[in-house]
Amino acid sequence: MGLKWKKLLPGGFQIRMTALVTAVVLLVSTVIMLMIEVRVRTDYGRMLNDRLEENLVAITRIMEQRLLRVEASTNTIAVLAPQMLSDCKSVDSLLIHAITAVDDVRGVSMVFDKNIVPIGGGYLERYACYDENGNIILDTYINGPELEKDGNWQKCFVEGLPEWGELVLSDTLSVVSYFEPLTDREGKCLGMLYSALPETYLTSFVAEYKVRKDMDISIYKSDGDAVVLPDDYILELSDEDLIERESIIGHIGWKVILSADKKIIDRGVRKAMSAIVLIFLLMFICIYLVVRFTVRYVSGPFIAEKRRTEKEKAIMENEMQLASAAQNELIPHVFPPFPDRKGLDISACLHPSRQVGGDLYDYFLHGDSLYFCIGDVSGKGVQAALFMAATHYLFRSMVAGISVAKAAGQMNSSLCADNEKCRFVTFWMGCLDLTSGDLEYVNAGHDAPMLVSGGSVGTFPSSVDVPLGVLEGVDFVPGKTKLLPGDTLLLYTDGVTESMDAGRQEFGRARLSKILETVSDADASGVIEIVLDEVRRHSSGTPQSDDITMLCIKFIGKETKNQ
Amino acid sequence: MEITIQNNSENVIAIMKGSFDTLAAEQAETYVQELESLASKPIIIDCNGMDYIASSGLRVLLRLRKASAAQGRQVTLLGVNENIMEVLKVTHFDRMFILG
Repeated sequence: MGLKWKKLLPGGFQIRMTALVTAVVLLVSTVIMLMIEVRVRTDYGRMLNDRLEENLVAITRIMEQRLLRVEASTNTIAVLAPQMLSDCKSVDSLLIHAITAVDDVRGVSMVFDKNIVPIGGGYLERYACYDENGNIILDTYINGPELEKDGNWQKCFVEGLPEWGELVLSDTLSVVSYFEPLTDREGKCLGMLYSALPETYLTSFVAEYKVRKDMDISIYKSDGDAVVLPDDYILELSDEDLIERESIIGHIGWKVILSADKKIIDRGVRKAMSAIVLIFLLMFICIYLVVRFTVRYVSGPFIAEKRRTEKEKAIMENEMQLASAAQNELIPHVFPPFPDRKGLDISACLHPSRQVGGDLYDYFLHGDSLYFCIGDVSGKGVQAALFMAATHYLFRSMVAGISVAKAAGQMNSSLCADNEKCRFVTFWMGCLDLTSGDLEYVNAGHDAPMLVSGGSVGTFPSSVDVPLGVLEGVDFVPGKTKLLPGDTLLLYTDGVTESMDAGRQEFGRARLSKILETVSDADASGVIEIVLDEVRRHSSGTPQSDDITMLCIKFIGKETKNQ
Repeated sequence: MEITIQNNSENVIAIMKGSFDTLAAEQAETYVQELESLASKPIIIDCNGMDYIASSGLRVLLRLRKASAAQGRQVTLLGVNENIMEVLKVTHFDRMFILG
């Protein structure tokens, strides 16, 4: 669990992840939106068609019924009228009855044949209509021969029933009329009867029944003449941009056409889509907030823990760096250390495998004597480093002026005391008399140094004593030898000889010895450099597993005794 | 490293296989405590499968040796290979253990 959180949380990854998720969400949303739009468009188109169809059917039916009512009323009067023509009052009451019977009718008129009511060659017309105050008025009018010219008379008696919608001009009304002939029982023409409706009747009817502003109704007679024209904007649209539905008012053959601009689908879809997108956005925001809250709530402790650990780690690393620097300061690393000593050349290196190491080297001059040492503490890390520091301190404080064997014994006693963890240090210590080249040394369990003398390489007699810190009260046995001018001494730790290559092959003492055969001309720092290069080349590609430490002392020549 | 401890009637055998490096030394430390706590029988370390020993490993052996000496017990190293024997000789450890 912990590992997973760690993997998920680093900033770079989180940002990449957020971008990826956002991209995927956007892509998926777009695809979903497009699919929804197609669906909405189809559904909306279908719904609109249904609405138009329903609307059209309703309009057609209502209009048919209303027209039929006018027709029926007019028919009834036409049947009743011939029997009542003898009495003027009966005619008038019939007209009043007719005009009040149907709301739509604004006027009812009887025109008598000039043979039936002869009044000097004209046609007598008796009619009832509403005045501007809504009161019914009865009046008489004498039509001249223009009645025959207009054709209404002929239509009524010669061509049969005139069509609905004929416009009749009277002095009071401009009307749409329905005509019926008046005949006696033998079929003889008596005159004609018509019911007049206001000219605006159909247009206002259309306006009343339009369910939507963006659709329009037009009505055409069977011969194609328009009774009601659509609005101009509908007329301007081409057929492809129009949705049209038509139906027929059955008994008179009029065509009712419902037209709508196709753009209303686009508008509707856009409206629906913006609502859907808004809902989606709100939903996303809600989900985002919920997820964010949840993640924060759940991962809060993990993040706090991680931050604390990182902080502690940073502090630790800082401490380790300080420790590393402090350890580095313990050992000398300015070369050459004694520039005024012409008979001596010293160089060294120490490369810990961790920040702090367990290796050490050191040297100092006491009169004409050079005391020097190299050591390797068991184990690694901080504990080894502390033991190394203790060893270094003991070397600096105890060795001067006494024999190396005695010094080793004292150091051993100090290091053995309270050494519960059984740490120890393999240690090689020498004392070189710069005036004579005499070298006295002790080897406390350390690898014997290499001596390069006149192009040949030899080692010192192998260890005879245990490392420091192992056994209480050991008497260290010193070894003695004499350096010749030009001799080079290389002290090293096993980090050099045991450095491994990728195939786990150790660098080895033999190889070190072989390299040293070629370095007799090099100075001390040159020797260190050459060996280090070879070791690095040998172990390239594998991590350094142990501290690599070398101390090279070149005895150039005897010095005259220092006063 | 692989460590197995056999508690026999007359002795305790610790079989150590692999590389006795710093990492293994930390692991071995707990076994050493176990060995120390076992009844005072001679301890035999079977080194037949051990191919390398670091100074950390030597430290663990030294600690075992010291604890055993205090209890009057002997520690024997069995089947030490050539490389390890060289390390033991250089550090003088060969004289602190019985080598078998």
